[in-house]
Amino acid sequence: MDNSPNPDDLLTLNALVDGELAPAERAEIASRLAVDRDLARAYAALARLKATVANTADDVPTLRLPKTRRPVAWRLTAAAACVAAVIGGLVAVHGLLSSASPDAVTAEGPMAITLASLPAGTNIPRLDTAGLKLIGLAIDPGKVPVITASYRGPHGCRLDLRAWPAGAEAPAVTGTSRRNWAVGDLVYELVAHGMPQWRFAIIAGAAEQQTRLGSDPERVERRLREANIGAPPCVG
Amino acid sequence: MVRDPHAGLPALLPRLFAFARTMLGDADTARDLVQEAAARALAARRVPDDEPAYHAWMFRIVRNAALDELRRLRQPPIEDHAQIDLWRYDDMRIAKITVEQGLAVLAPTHREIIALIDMAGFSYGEAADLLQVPVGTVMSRIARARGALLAAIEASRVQPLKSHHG
Repeated sequence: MDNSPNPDDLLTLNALVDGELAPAERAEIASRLAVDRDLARAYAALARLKATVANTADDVPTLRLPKTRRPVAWRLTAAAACVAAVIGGLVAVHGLLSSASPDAVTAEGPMAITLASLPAGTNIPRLDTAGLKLIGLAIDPGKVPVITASYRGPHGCRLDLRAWPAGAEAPAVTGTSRRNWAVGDLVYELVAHGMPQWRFAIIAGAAEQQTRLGSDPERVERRLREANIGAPPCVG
Repeated sequence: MVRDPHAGLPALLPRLFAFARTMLGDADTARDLVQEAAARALAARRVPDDEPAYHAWMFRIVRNAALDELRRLRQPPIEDHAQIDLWRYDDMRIAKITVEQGLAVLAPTHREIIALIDMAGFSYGEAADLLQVPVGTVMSRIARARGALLAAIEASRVQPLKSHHG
């Protein structure tokens, strides 16, 4: 003898285990469950199934940067976020990137990328308009945690933006131009390698603005465009 | 003060991963896919303001990527197991190992709805919005999907170990 619930009852039982029934419907099915063993058994099976399926979702691996993937800028951003978020620790992330992804950090506009999971909502500026692509994010878990964003231009220009907690002292790095500023609980430092001073000053100004909340994107965009005018190849 | 629109992303990642893994049936691919989706979200110019919309947006990104991956792999749709009398067997067979094996042989549409409701924790309404189907469709899909999963568990040769107490 087939004691399976009819299709309508199955819909109702599923909705019951999912908490989707209105109070009146819930009361009605509850009264039937109290007297119908087959219905109660079906309900128990569904509830057990739901709980067990949910339990399988607990096995979350450490999300890491893939070892061999096509080089896309936004992977590094993800790696930084995932690593910080899921592992809760800090891991170095380096790599060479290209502008292959339409939605990647190479997308037009100078909007900064906010790394939500990092301390104090670190903002990584977008400098694409000035011809500088974000090619890597490194998170150094040392005594003073330092986030480093590396940019490269088509003519050998190199920039590194670092951020660390205010009040701490990050290890010094070499460079031909340098600019520091503070935003909230973070200190930012932009270091260039071989970039003309005037160009660095414009780019650093735009980068600083992007790290501050409420900056004017159009103004930043204009400044980054200015940095491209007559810019000679970098030597660094 | 401006709210960080991605503030909820770290907490969402395990659910996104569970969803992707269930859709794709492969943890490594799911991990890569979720990382890519997270990066894509972080780089997006427009991000939903409120939390429910953000969650749905993130799942939509992951779902679209997973569907693309399934299409790329050209996975043949898996036939559902014939419906049997699901309610007569020992429900102690419903265990993590049998559920995982059962999910692996389900049709992608069944896996998807189970992952959305049971793993990601979406309501029927939220799942309906995400899948762009009526709520009634979600209701019937989840019922069919669970029926198929129970049938797959019943058809499996794997038996969970009984636990003994005392």
